[in-house]
Amino acid sequence: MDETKIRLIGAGGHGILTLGRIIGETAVKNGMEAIMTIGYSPARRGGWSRADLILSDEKIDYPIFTESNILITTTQETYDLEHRNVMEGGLIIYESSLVNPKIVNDVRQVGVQAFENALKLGNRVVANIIILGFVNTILKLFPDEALLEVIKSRVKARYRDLNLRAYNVGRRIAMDMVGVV
Amino acid sequence: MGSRDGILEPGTYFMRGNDACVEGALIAGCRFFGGYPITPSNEISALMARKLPLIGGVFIQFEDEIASIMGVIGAANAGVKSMTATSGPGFSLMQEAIGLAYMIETPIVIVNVQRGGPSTGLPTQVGQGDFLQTHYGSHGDYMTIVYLPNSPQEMFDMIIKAFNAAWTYRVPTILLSDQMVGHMIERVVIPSLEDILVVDRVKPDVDPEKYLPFDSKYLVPPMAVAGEGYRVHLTGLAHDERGYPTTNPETVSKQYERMAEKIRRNEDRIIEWEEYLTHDAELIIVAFGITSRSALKAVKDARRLGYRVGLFRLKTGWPFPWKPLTRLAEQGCRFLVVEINAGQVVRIVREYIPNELVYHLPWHPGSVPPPEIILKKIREVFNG
Repeated sequence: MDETKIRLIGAGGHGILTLGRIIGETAVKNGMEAIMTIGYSPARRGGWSRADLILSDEKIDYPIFTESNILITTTQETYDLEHRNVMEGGLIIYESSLVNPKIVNDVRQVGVQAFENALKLGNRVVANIIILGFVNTILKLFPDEALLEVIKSRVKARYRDLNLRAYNVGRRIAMDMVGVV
Repeated sequence: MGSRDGILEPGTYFMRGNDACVEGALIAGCRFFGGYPITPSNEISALMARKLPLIGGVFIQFEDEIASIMGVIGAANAGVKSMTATSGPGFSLMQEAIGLAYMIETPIVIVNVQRGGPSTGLPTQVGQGDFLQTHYGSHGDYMTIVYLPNSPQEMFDMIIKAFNAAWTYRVPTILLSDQMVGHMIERVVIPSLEDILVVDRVKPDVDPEKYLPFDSKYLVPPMAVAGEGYRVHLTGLAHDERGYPTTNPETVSKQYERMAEKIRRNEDRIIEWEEYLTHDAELIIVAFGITSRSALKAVKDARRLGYRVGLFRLKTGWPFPWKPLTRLAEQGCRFLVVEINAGQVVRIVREYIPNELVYHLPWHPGSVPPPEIILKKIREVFNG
């Protein structure tokens, strides 16, 4: 496999960096290579944070990239900032209750209502795990069990069930989207 | 995630460079950390503060970097493997004490996660402007051992090597990283403890009355520590074998010579470098740290275009691996030094390689020279 470049970007507190770390950790624990660099807007409340992640079967020479294959974004500000930096044939996944997508040529765009569904589960914090379930079902990066194993090891026992349900909600949303999967 | 407490279990992790540095240091036996917060080295202090108390170690945040490194020197003289971590301005503040550690032959480890300088510079962004400072930053003649990691895995591996070198040669040892390598997250494999070489202090085996802390019959004298019954007298003044100040030319010269020789004679054992496709290269890129990863990509891209290019990566800065470099020069190739500063490594390369064969791509701090820029320079060199 060639390098897959994934850019995750959203507001501070959206769990963007955690999401990147879960994907990267699942990769390296399952024999793949992964590298992640992190960026922030100038420190202020409501600023954005970004995780640039590269996945590959081979050792990754250089961690920095400009254009991604996959952009995952949770706010309009960060969507506007990055939607033009997606390669031809790439994919944008956005939080559909917060982002109004624009026309981008030769890039597929899919929305997911992560925050609303997380609230229905009782905790807005698991929105990133809903996105993860959604993303992995579309991209088939890893077996679900591999991701769930990593999630389980990262969260306290009392939140495991909540995270598992969140993951499954994301998975279900993707499976219900005719033509996407 | 393995154990979040104390020593990490062997396994494969997705770990930040600065965190890997802490895990390696603890495995190497580090039990004292003295430091003062500064970006982009802060994750090292933060994780040390959390972990050291769990394994019987001590973490002190001092009032500044000068006090921090003095605390580290004191702890090492009490027999405890000790380190500090800093960046930019903090590293400058530590310079005088690095000279002191060399003078009193105290094994300490200093991590410098380089940011853009000079002065306050670019606190959150990358730089490689401290390369010469690791050898020439303190006044007077002295030597250090300097490791140059280019990945989180090497932050782990090389901090252990740094401790081993410091305690083998009784010399201040520096892990010279950079903001990119310190902050990037990548696969880090932690081997089982029995597969990791950890060097400990050589203790004196003579009676306390006969002990000479700077005994010139050794290249590296055994090190007694305060509190073990041996007399310990330490001073930054030139001193004799007992550690007492002296201006006697013969004694001074003998001690200075021994301190330099302990590094010089072991240079071949200490130096580390890595070569990629150098065997048939007409142009060899010389780089270290994060820049070496951009250079590696540029070399691969250039090869695809038919340019015979290779990479010589410095893994130790000091001692400088000039022997393997000059061996490569004998095959008649040219060199291109790429670094995030106005010209530091290139000066050293030009000490050993005729000037007309050495090209230079300097880069301002704040970003990494992208592979495309290096490739452009490669084309320029080939096409005149």
